[in-house]
Amino acid sequence: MESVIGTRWRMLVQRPPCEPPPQGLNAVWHQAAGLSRRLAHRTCAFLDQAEKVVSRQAAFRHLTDRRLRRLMTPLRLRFQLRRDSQTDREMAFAILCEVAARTVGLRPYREQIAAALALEAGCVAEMATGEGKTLVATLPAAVAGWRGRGCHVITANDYLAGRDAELMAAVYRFCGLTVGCIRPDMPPAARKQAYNAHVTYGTNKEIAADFLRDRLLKGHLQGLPAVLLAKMAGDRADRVDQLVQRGLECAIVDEADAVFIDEAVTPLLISGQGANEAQSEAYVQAAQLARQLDAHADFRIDSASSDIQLTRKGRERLDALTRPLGGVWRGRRRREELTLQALTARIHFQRNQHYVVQDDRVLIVDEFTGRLVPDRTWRHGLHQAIEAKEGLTIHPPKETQARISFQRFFRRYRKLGGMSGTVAEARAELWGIYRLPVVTIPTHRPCRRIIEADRIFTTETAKWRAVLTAITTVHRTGRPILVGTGSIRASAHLSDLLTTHNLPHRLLNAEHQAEEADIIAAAGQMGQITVATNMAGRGTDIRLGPGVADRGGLHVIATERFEARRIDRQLFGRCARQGDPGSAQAFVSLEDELSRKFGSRFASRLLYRWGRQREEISSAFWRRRIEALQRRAENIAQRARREVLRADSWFDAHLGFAPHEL
Amino acid sequence: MRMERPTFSESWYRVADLTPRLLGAVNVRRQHFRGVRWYILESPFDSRFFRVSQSAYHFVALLDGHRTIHTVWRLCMDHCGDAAPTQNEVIQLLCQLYGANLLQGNLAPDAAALFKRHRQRAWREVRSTFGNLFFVRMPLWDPDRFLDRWVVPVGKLFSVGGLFLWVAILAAGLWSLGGRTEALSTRAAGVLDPENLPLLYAAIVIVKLFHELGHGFACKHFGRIAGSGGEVHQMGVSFLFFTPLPYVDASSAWNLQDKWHRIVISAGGMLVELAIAALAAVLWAHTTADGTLNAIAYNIMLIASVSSLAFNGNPFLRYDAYYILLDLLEIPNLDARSKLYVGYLVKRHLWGMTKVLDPSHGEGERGWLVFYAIASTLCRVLILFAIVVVLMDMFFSIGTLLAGMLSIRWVVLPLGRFIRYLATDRELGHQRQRAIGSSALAFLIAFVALGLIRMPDRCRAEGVVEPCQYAVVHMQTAGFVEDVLASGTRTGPQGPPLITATSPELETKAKRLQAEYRRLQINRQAAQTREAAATQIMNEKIAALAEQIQRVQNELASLALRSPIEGTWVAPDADRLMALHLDQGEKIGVVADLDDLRIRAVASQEVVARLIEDDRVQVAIKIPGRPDIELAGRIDHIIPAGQERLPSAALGYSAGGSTRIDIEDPSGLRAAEPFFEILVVPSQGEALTLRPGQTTVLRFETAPRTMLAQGWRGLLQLFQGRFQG
Repeated sequence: MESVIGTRWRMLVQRPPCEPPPQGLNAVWHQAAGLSRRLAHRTCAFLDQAEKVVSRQAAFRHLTDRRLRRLMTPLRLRFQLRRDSQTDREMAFAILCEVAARTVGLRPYREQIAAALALEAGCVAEMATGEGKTLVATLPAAVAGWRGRGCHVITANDYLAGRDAELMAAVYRFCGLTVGCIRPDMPPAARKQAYNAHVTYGTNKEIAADFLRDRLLKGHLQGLPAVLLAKMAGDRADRVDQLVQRGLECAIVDEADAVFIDEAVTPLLISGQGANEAQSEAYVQAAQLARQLDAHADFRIDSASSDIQLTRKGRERLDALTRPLGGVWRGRRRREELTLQALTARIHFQRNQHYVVQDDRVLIVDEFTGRLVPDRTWRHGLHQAIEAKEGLTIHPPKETQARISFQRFFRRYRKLGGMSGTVAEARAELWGIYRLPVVTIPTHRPCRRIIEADRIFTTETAKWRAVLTAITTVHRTGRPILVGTGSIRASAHLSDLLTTHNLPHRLLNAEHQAEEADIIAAAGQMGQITVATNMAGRGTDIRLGPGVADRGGLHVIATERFEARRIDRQLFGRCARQGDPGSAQAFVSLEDELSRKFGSRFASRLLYRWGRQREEISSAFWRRRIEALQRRAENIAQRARREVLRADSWFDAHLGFAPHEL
Repeated sequence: MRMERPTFSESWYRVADLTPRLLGAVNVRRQHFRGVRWYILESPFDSRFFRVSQSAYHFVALLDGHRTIHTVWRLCMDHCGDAAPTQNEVIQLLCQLYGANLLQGNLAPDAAALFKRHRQRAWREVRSTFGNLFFVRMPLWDPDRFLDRWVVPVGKLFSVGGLFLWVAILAAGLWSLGGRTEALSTRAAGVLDPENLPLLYAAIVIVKLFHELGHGFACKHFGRIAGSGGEVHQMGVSFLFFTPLPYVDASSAWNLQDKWHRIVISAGGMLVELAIAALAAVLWAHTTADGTLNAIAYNIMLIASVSSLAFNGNPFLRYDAYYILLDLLEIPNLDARSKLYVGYLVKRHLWGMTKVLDPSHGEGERGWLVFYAIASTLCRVLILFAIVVVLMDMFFSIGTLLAGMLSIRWVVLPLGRFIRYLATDRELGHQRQRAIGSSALAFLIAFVALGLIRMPDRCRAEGVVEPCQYAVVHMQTAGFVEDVLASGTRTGPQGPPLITATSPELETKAKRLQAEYRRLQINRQAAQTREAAATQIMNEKIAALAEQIQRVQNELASLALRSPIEGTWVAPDADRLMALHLDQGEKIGVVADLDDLRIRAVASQEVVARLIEDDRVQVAIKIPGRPDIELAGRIDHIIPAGQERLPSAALGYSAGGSTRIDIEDPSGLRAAEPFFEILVVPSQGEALTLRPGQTTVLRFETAPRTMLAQGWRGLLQLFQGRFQG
């Protein structure tokens, strides 16, 4: 492995905390700039450039491997010295295409090259699902590797990171580059080695967590001057040598929408074991108290925000109940806080849906992927409240040591690019926060997906019944079916239904983590029924089994409309890839999470009553209404993300006496 | 799960392990407001003040540079329970303290951040200056040492003896004004005359200088009594509506514990001003009316009393009385908090937000907060409106500019902020729809009220009452008056003579002519006998003489004048005419038909234009001084051409009317701008209460129009008038 230790200082001279997002008139100007970029038709430019690259490839086809490598050397030098010209870049991409064809047998076609060029130019390329994003990422990553300052290729999950790194390793090796891959269970030394590779694959969580850990390690030694001074003073400088990363230079993000948008709501935390505050007893007592209070009389649940509020009677009752307890129960605020927490644990958190109990511990189930997340805990005593509810040993809460929002983390990269199947809706946000323009790349072959109109039902039962009928009908034709659900609970429910109706199927949920990709990959076989949450198995292609295409390809059923149109499109995008046939349809009910959470209370009550007469109310009116709800949900989510960033900026502006978060 | 005040904060880890402490130089003082203890922290560098609650101070005081914030917070939690600040509140508090440079951390400060903060602060100041161009302050001088030198002698005035002296001066001033109110009010009309403006301004500057020194000395004096505090480090020029005036920064009064001391400091300026006003009144009363000294005294008196009471004495503007009120009520930061509280009430009760924090501290404050928020807003809008109107009248361009700036500041910006709040603020959460709905409804109601509901559209004009028919009675034949009919008697052509006079000259002449006539007749008889030709001549002579006699007889008869028309005889001078000799053509009086009166009103073009448009104008007639009487009438005729001579001097500016008159015209009858005359006939039977010559106010009511349309027309007319003029 080539030594890149000398670049350690780059981590230390990392740019000062990034500027807060523009405000006021600056924001207007910024938006206008984004709009002008969007209007200037860049797709054509990239496609034209890709055409040139394609035509250059002809010159390399007959060269021997050695000649090809020899051609690379001066090119690589120019990239390293930052002297690369437009021609150099075209040349480099052409060579890389040739290399890809020779090593992994995939020759990037024009659209893929255009996407790669867009990434190189610092854009988000919108490519339809199944267009070969893994290969696309390789080209700019290799160029970045030649530049020698590291390149992070960020994927949605660890499995994909490992798979992609392995798949493309041959390309990089041919180009004289090393590849590293960050796995969750790696020790620091191995991580350091992976980061020192020219190209590093990993998930956003792992890479951001390593960044935070490095920060914690540096402690107060922020910046190069401080480290140099400390080193001169012979003080704690060895810490710096333990840093695993070498600066955030360039990142290529696969599934950009998931990383930049979906996961941007919750900041990443590094927490350590906190001091035991000897409050375990209080949690147990709170759980007992919560069991004694009853809904309606003592507390109310707001259906929209799912907030729990004590009524006056409930307060009095609580007061009476806690009088003999003393201690933390004396203060009214703390008392109510603890009780409400216990109530939240009791009402909103269900075993095997939100969490699983294993070995006397509460393990969180990821809402989206359905996976268990062992190191995650709920904050501020909620985890303890759930432990108390389940009667487990109360583990002291962990304390946050460092935190970073993904928005801020990605804004620190000097160069950022992304790919996604469904990102057009989030255009404005990507530009506003990350300064990433979106470029839409056309599909290589025309799309043959048939999206059938949504079917809308008043009740959930009616919806499930219709879903079952639909599955049975399609199953009879022998076409494979993929059913996407919103939650693990819904998956399990549907699985039960299918079992009772004797329909053989495969279920993708928390317990089948290891086989996830296999199940998804096999979902295209004749007669296969697969039930999965909408997020499960992302990034894996569903290849159609023999004879399936003739019968109409994969049929996708969405059992609800999700909180963003993007997610619907992702699910639908699983069928009809690369010119295959396929169809998709969504089944929606007025009792779904979306209507429950975002529908205005009055209107939904009215409509619900009115629509109760019939079970199925599929009509253009209701479809529009559901879409409006979806748009509302998107807006709310976007506002929440903006708030995360704003809160960060506020702290930076006001907490000058505390060390900077970044 | 969301609580009103959640105990924990996500960001706690960032501060938990720090060990900051308050700067040693921070001045801490205890104060009580409405029985609650608060702590005032004074920044030693820029004398800014921070008020922290008891529990927050408890927390801050425990920070000693060794304990970590987390330790201290736990201590507070154990000690104060619910009252202890939550993690979020601690972070907020620390941020505020740090922002005010009151906190000393254990980290090397981030120099770049420090500079950035300084730049932001400087920029904020510039911005606030531009945002509030009417109240710009420019510090010039540190008067602390000057005040120190003089505070001992001057401070003696802040005592019981001083109070007596003050009362005595005030009494003397009032005494000398006694009985001179008329002179006072006649002078008041000329105060805003251009030639008086420099004097007025000089008076303002002098008075305000003493006013500010009053604050300064009071502050120093009570600071000396309290043993510390009371520094006055800033004096300079503030530009109030672009008028440079002195100011002094006595904000260190905040530090004093006795609220009465603070009140006296706030009132100090006004006390001094009133004393000056009283002294000026004495001076004014004892100097001759035309001297410069008199004029200066008058101006000083006016400024020191009226402006002092109207501005400084008005608790709804943020001047002295506001601070007095604030100390009296013990509600610090009344203005801002009253608005916050009203906002809270709206959020809580109108929008149903359950998680907003009540900004009031205790029951007793609430009423005051609501009252103050409403009253101060109304009062400020009114005063600003008045200032703008006056300025627009005097200096049109500046006034318009001012109105534009004020409307941006008071209407456009708050509205924009409000809309942004409704659209984006996270606090609203699920109540957003309700908030938007109720706000939209409020705007809709306002719009309907202003834009759709038609209100009576009224305008006013002044006029004088005059009879429709009247005859001026002139002396037709010179003579000595013997008898005059009593004024006010109803008379007519058949009635008794209006005036009876004798003319001995005429009588003699008549006798002489009679004699001549007889002689001629005798001569004719004689001639008839002698020669016929001569008879012819004689006949002609006699005829001529007879005619002459007839004329004299007529003249004699007209010595007893009768009224030419039916009406009332009005001769104000009737009694004085007795036995006087009056020449022919001299005016004696008027016979007017008092049952048939009309009003001749003077109206500007704007008013007339509206009256011509509408043919169903209702007219109400009001008589100044008789608010109980309101008569109906109708427009008889509008005399079209622009007139310049007023029908009565009573309508002109100089005689108390509302029409501006040409200054160069001594009679006070020539109007400055051409006007129209409107003839209005009172409805039947109502004319009895009117008297000719009376001034009346006519109120014309045209078809109702919406307020919006009325306001828009007024604005257009204002601008049109200005640009043509």
